[in-house]
Amino acid sequence: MRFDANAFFGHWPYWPLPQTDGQGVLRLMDRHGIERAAITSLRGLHGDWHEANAETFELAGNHPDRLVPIGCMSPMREGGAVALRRLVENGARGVRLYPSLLQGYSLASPFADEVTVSAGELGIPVIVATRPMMNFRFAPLPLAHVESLAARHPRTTVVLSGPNYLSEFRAACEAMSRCANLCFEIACMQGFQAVARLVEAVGADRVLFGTGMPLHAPACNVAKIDHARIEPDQRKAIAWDNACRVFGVSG
Amino acid sequence: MIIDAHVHIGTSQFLQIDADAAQLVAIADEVGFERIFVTHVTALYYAMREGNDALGADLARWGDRLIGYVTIPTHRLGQDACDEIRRCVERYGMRGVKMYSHPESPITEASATAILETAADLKLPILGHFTPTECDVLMQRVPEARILMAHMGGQPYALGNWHLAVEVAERHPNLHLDTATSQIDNGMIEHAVARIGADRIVFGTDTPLLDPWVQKAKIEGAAIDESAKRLILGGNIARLVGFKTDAV
Repeated sequence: MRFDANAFFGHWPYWPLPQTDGQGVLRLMDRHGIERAAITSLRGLHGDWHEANAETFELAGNHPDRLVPIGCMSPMREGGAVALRRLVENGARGVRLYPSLLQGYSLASPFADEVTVSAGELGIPVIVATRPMMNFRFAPLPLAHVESLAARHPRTTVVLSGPNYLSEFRAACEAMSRCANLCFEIACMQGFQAVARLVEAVGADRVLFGTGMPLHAPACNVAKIDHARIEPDQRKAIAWDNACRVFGVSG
Repeated sequence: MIIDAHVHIGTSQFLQIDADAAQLVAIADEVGFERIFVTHVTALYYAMREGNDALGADLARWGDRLIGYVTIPTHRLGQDACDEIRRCVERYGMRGVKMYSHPESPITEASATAILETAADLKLPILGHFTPTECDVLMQRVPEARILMAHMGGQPYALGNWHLAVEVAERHPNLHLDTATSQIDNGMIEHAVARIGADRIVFGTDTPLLDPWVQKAKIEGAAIDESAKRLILGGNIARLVGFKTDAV
């Protein structure tokens, strides 16, 4: 059983994707044995997040057994606690933030604090990517910014997505040792047996399987989990159980 | 037969890797790689001859599994680099050349040409840590050189442009693409196969820097036919160095 904590649909402005719509992503899931995915419209990274969330709800609503809707928002067009509550009322099980380069605000901003506090009260995670995909071509968000957010709001689960290089990996492990509310989603991590090293450093309970599809080829992250030198119960936790717990959905 | 055309041996602070031949062979066994092409990181990041000699010693013991690249850390070594290639081929039976470069010491400087010509003269493939734009220049200078563009455009600094890598490879029939890269973009392999064919794409993992399972899955999970996968996973590099495999 695999629950992809990091899936998208839509377009990528830098090159054409082989799959862009929900049906294409569902076919990818079937092909790679992924039963469930936490999904977000890529429109939310670049364009109107209200429209993106509407698309996400429509798609996930048509496939409630397969797709868990994850919202996104920014300070533009009245993002904040009120909007987040409406998203959760509509079924969102998490919210993605893309500060800095993509959406022009800081994780230290009042907006980020307001959303993160509200997410904790609503029982959903805040997902922050240091890079939305491995081959991002732009400077990543400093990991310390994500740690600072998690440290300021210990009652909110913060999912860290995007780290890869060894310095980032080590910094993430150290941040997770300091912040019990910080989880790690693995889609960008490329190091040799990195999942096993991550589990050794922080345990399996805060590690989430994610593919980054359709930006990434999902087979790579499936292999990363399947061949990680970890115990079967740890593999099950990473591949399925942890995502169910973090997103608050039944297994 | 799966052959990994991009593996590192030795100890490097820069890469934060530390692997000897026994460890690399154990990894190859686990993942199912019959042969691995290795470059010594001491030659890559410290002393060329010392590193190549260390690899030569490993080849003496592990020659049934390891295949040696003569490692040339910088083209600025000039004639010494050309001599080193011939020395390592004659003394250790190395079958290819690994050339490194940094954006700060561009490989398009004139001294690279003689090194490429030496490799071409010896019919050795060159795993070149070059950008697509650099490959475009080098292939015009030495079109008979068989260059494997390391990281498939993911150089410098693994922020890749595989679209440009494929575009440049379309212009140069002796330019090949090495799939060892942290780029795991959806559609990357399919795009390359569609544009330049499967026979100029060479499988590599960058072990022990990157995870070989992930790199293998990038090929095995691609939406390309099985014969194309066999070529990429071993047939092409075997053909380049004259091995016989059922995929050639």
